[in-house]
Amino acid sequence: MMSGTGSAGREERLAAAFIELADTLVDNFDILDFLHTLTEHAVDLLRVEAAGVILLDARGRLVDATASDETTRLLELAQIQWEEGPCRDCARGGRPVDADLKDADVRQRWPRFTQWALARGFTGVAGVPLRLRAEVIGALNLFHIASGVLSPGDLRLGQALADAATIGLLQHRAVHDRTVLHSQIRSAQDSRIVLERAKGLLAEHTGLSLDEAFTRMRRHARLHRMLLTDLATAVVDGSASLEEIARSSPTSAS
Amino acid sequence: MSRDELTRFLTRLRRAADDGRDLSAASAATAARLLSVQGLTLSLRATSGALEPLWGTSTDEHAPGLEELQYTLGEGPTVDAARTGHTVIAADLTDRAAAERWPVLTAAPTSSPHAVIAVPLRLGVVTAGVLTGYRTTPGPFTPTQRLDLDAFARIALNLLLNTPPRTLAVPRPGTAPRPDVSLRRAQVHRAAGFLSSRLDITVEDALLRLRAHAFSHDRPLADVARDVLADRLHLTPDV
Repeated sequence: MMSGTGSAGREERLAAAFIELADTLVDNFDILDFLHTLTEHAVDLLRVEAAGVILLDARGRLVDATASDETTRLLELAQIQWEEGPCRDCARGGRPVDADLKDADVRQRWPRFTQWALARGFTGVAGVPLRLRAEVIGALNLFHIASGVLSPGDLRLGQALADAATIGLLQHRAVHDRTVLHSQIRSAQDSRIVLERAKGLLAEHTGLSLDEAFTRMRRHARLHRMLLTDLATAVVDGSASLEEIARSSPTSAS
Repeated sequence: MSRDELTRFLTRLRRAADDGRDLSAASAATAARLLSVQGLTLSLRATSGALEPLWGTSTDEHAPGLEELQYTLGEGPTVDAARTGHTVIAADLTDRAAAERWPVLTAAPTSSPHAVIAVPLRLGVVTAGVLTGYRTTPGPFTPTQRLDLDAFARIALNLLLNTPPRTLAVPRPGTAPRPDVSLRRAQVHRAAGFLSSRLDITVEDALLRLRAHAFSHDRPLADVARDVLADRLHLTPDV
């Protein structure tokens, strides 16, 4: 595995990592890909052998999980299922954890997790929350084979990477929510445009008033269990029978 | 004095947006006055890319004639801001730079020496609409004025996003759509539908036909639309 510390160009890689983690406002943003990038940077820049990350929703349910390698990813998922482990505790509590897996306390706290991690040669695990102020959206786990706990410098840098990723994710989420609102409003306006056009068209074709044309379209749509917008679209593109719609008078509808 | 008033106005609107209010919370006339422009409009881009005016100062005032002309001709600062996602400024529509950039618009008979600033309403990588300020006097927009317009544009977008889609989608029979936030050119779209049936052409072509007539007769598009619907104006398929 890569251990980036001390090698040439570390500062550039550090800068590149932060820039990449801030770049979430792109067209083809993919959350899993982004989380995977975070774990790759962690393994590259810190003295750790593997990294995993989980994202939780507001109720603490798992949204996404990924890791620098497949076995670690399974461990991330297992923490949710087992309801134990540093990533889960860190995401729930919003505070960093740093544990020596040989400690008896740690084994007692996370029996299944510890057994699994030790079996794969890891001796220590740290977790830093993905957190912005009061909002905790997940956690980053850092697995290493050096004895004891992670160095304070690495833990700080790990937290900094997690912070950058959190800001990126929250920003993306905010923009995503607003984008959804925007597309709803835009499609409402699109509907209105086609409806007004259909009213004018039907009124000219049948000699009905605009209001009456609208009333008959509504009645026809209701009678045939169609969306008014779909009917209006059919009127405008010529695929609806205007005579039939015009016959949707109160007497024929009842 | 008026800066304080602007600050208070923006603060109030920010709060209104946080409370879930929509654009009807913002008086266009007040906004225009405090931002030192004579006309102010907000257009939302339809999925087709076409701009639809949604909110703004009254259509009788200076600005919308020019705004309508931009839609009619398909060129101008607002159109460019929507397309590029950047603020577009025309300090004087009678100068050479403007003439080179928008040859038809600046040559149009109704084009008077206006200064125009068009601020895109951006949502991530998408341009949702454009806020356009019109001034009857030529000259640059000061940095302060630009910042104020930017601040207002950001708040206006937040208000816009609070618009209940239903109020935009379907006018309920018997009740007029709310005057502040609705499709401003409903009449034009009705007339386009009407004309498409009359001339047996597509609605898009009918819309072009209406615009061409408005432009060549130097009349507001809304007036042409009204006359077509009232059967007072009989357009032929060719211009």
